[in-house]
Formats: sequence, C-alpha cells, structure tokens
Amino acid sequence: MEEVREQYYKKYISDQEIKSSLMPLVHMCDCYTFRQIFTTKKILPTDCKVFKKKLAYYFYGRPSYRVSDACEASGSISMFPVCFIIDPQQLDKIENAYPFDTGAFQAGLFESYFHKESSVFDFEFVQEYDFINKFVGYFYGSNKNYYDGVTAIDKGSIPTFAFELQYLHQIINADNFEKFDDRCQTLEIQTADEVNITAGGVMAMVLPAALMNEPAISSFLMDYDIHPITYTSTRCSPSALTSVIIAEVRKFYEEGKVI
Amino acid sequence: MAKYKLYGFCSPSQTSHTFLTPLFKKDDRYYTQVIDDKYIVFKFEEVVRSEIRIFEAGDYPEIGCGDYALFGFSDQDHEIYSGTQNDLKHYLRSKVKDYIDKPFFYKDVSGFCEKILPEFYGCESSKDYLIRQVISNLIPDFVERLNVRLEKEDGKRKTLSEIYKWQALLNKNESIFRLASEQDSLKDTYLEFVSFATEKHKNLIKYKSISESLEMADVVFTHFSESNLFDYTHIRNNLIYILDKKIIGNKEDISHYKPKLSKQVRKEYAQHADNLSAINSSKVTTGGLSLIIYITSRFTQEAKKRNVRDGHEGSSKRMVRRLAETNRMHTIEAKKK
Repeated sequence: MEEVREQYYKKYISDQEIKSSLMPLVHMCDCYTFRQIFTTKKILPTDCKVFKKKLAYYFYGRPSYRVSDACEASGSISMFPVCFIIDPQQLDKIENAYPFDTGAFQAGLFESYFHKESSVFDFEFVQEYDFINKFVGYFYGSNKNYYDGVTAIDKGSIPTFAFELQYLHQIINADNFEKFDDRCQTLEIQTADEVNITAGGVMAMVLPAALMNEPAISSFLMDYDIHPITYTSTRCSPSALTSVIIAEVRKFYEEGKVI
Repeated sequence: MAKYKLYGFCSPSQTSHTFLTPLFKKDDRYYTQVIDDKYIVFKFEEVVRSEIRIFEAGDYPEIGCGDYALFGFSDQDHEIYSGTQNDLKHYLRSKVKDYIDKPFFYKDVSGFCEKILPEFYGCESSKDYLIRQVISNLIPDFVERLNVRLEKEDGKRKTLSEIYKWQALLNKNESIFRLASEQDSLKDTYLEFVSFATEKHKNLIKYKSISESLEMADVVFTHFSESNLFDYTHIRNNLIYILDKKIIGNKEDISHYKPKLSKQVRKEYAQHADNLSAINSSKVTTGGLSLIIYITSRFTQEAKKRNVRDGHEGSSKRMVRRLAETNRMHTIEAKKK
C-alpha cells in the first residue's frame, strides 16, 4: 500500500514548488488543560488512543475549534478555548502530519465521501515542513486561501488515480460544509516532543478576556513577549466563538504578513 | 415568526462585574441569541443547559429574529442590569471609569457603551491593554510601599495661591484632596513607579508609550511641581486638557474619542492654564500622555481604596476599644460583687 500512497498521493505533492512562507503552529486546549500547561510551562504529549502512543497535536496555521463541543451553555470558564500560536521552529520533529483533523476522520465525519476501505494512513504526509508547505501551495495556492478554506486547484486537474486528493477536494468544497466545520481543511501535525512555552517560540495566545485579570497570566505574556488575543466569553452564542477566534487570529496574521 | 422567552442569564466568569449570557426558552429547549454588529438578533441557537447557575431575568416580552438583542450585566454588588444595548449603554457609561484597574474588562465595556476614557486613548492592540494590565497589577503594591494617599487640605487657608482657589471653586468644594506620597512631588512618584515597574517587567521599557512618558515627565509635571496643593481631580483635568489640545493640534482621528472636559471647564482652563508649556512641547505625545493619565488615575483609584480601608480599620479599631472598655467595666463590676 505504501507504494500506492507514494505514487498517487505523496509524489504529486512533493513535485510541487514552495510558494509561501511557513505558517505558525496552533495548539488548542481548554482553560482546564491550559492551567496545567501554564503550571508546567510545557505542552506535553498525552496518550493517543488512535495512534497508540504519546502525542501532542497542533494545527498548521489555523485555530480549529469543534463547534459541537461549544454548544453547551457553560457555567465555567474552564471549558473555554485557549490557543497557542507557535513558531514552527520550536517543533523540530514531526511525528505525523495529515491534511485534516484525524479526530474528525476517526469519528466518521468524512465517511460518506471516502471509500469504505480508506484508512487515515492513506492521507499521511511526509514528516517535513516543506511537504506541508507544498501541499498548501498545490491545493490552496497561498497561505491566505488556506486560512480561508478556499481551494485554488481545479478538481479536473487532479490526476484520475489520485483518489485521496479528490476526496480532500470534495470535503473542502462540500455544500454541507457545516457538518464538518473547519476540521476538514485544517492540517494536523503530531509530535512526540514536548514544547517549552518559555523558550521564546510562543508568538501569540488566544484566551478569554476574563483570564487577563489573573496577574500571573498577564505577567507571563509580558515577560515572554507573547501577543495576547482576547475574546469575550459572554454576550455571544458559544458557537460564535469559532468565527471570533478565526477573525482575531486573522488580524494577527495580517499584521505579521503571515497571510 | 417564532418568539423566544428570556429565561435567565448565566456567566462562566466568577468575577463580580461581568457581562452575562442571556438564555432563552422555547418549547422546553434552551437557546442563545446570535447577533449582528448592530446588536440585532439574526438567529437563535440551541444550547445544552448543563448544571449552571442561572440568574433570574426581569419580565421581558418575547423576542424573535430582527428584534434588538438583550444583554445582561452583573455589577459589583451582584445586582443585575439588563436590556438592549441602548438601555445598558447609559448605565455602563457612568460605570466604565470604575474598571480602569481591569483594562481588558474595560475594553469590553468601553466597546459596548462606546465611550473611550483618556486613560486609554490610543490603545489599539491587545498589547496596549496588556501594558496597562501589567502596570495595573503592580500599583497596589507600589501604593502601599510609597504610602501613596489622598490627603485632605483645607481650602480656607490664607496662603493659598490663585490656582489653588480656582480649582477649589471648580470642584465646588472648599476642601481639596492632594495625591501625596513619600516622594517630594508627583513627578518623582511617577518616575519611581516606572522604575519599579520596569525592574519587575524588563520588557515594559521596550514600549514606545513608556519611553515617551519618561521623556515628557519633566514638561508635563512641571506645572504641578510649583506647589503640592493640587487636587487630584485638577491633576486629571489638567492632563486631559493637554491631551485634548494635543489631539486636536495633531489632527488625530477623533471619530471615536470626544474631548472629555465640559465646555465650561475647558473655558476655565483656557483662561487659567494658557501657560502650560506641555501643550506646545514636541516631547509630549498623546500615547505617552495617555499612559501618564492612566498611571496617575490608578494611583488615585488605589489611594481611594486605601482611604476607605483605613477608615474601616479605624472604625473597627474603635469598636475593639469600646468592646475592651465594656469588658473591663464588667470585670470591675464582677470584682465589686
């Protein structure tokens, strides 16, 4: 099977040219887990039932927040999302990378679009940033298009036997996009390494504004030169947070000319 | 069109003053409103109501899509204020100055009620608010260390200068409260604070507003160094007057910021304070000046808290003395028996 993957999936991507600069990595968690990260000052790999090893998960460039998790009128700030926007150089060793959220794949969200024999491993990337960058160039044309979920490639130009690339094109452009939310278009990067959040690689953090009243948090952001991106945890519907966070991170990227 | 009944408010925040999320009920299901940037509801989204504390709502008519959204706000005493953005706006405009110690909360309230304080003029990015948050966190400790306090001066003293009498008149009060500390002048207190803050957070010095405020401190505080007899409200008004003049002189965008002093006060300042060299000094920038206003206003806010606290301590000490006296009398009477 590896030979098929190599010939009809990875090769098409590897043959592309790099068109844009690397995007930051995004690690998402809730405030409950953030408290642990803040205490240890490390993003640590945890047991992954799917891949059966200790892994930490990152998204390439985009914050990806599960709408289904948000649809609860939460009585605690602990449930609200926090994301770390990290310089990719902080993560030397990529264990695996995929063109979508593997959790969504395992939950069967994409099954009506993929062949029943399809495995998540059919979509595995080469574990290099260059490969990820080439995929973004090939499929989206630019970092901005990737961030906006707009494919630049014409479906007709995807080779006939490149089924995996066709599936990806289909789910990203599906009419009932809301079913998948943004998890179908967010590249996932896994690592077995820990990331020290005081090593200077955290560029920005998205967090509920209520957390900023905590002196330890504001001091941490100031002392490690981390740009705060805050959102209000009340007034709007819980699911509206997704678009609020994506819009706020977009502003940060635009200022930094990432997109 | 479907209508939804306001069921109550909930908040994930444990702080005393916070915006609340309105929860609506229809056919035994719970919903939150989804609103546009004009505060109009464009849809209702079902939510799972887990075990959360619900604050009771007043009796509101049912609302539907296209209606004005409803908002809730819980204040320091956990009193709940609710209504449309327009209803709440006026209440929050009167309260926003109380939140300067929590810059990110201030930002939220300020955006909602469309009022920008001079303390935050020029704050655009979250980094600007972070600078103020970090500074704000340090002020209670600094105020204790340097004994920053509000001291009452009697306005009837014969030695008072004209400007002193004038500010007492403006305050409509013969007493003035001066912002005092262990330092000789307000300028020294300010410089000592910036030194204290940049020692604690070395990154602070990198920010333009901090370095600009240091460069302009001489010019800005000169006016107050002639005498220590300045009321804290006069200091703030004076700094705001300079800020407003600078903003207008620089032709900066004031579509969101309105000059803060009333016409009458501005007129008085124009007559009495024309000699303020800061207005014409190129060293004085609006960003640096706004930061100086922020820090001095925070000194005042903390000094007021200290005054209240010390007042309470005073009364509780008196109460302890009275109790001790009563106990002593009881003991004496018991011995007599």
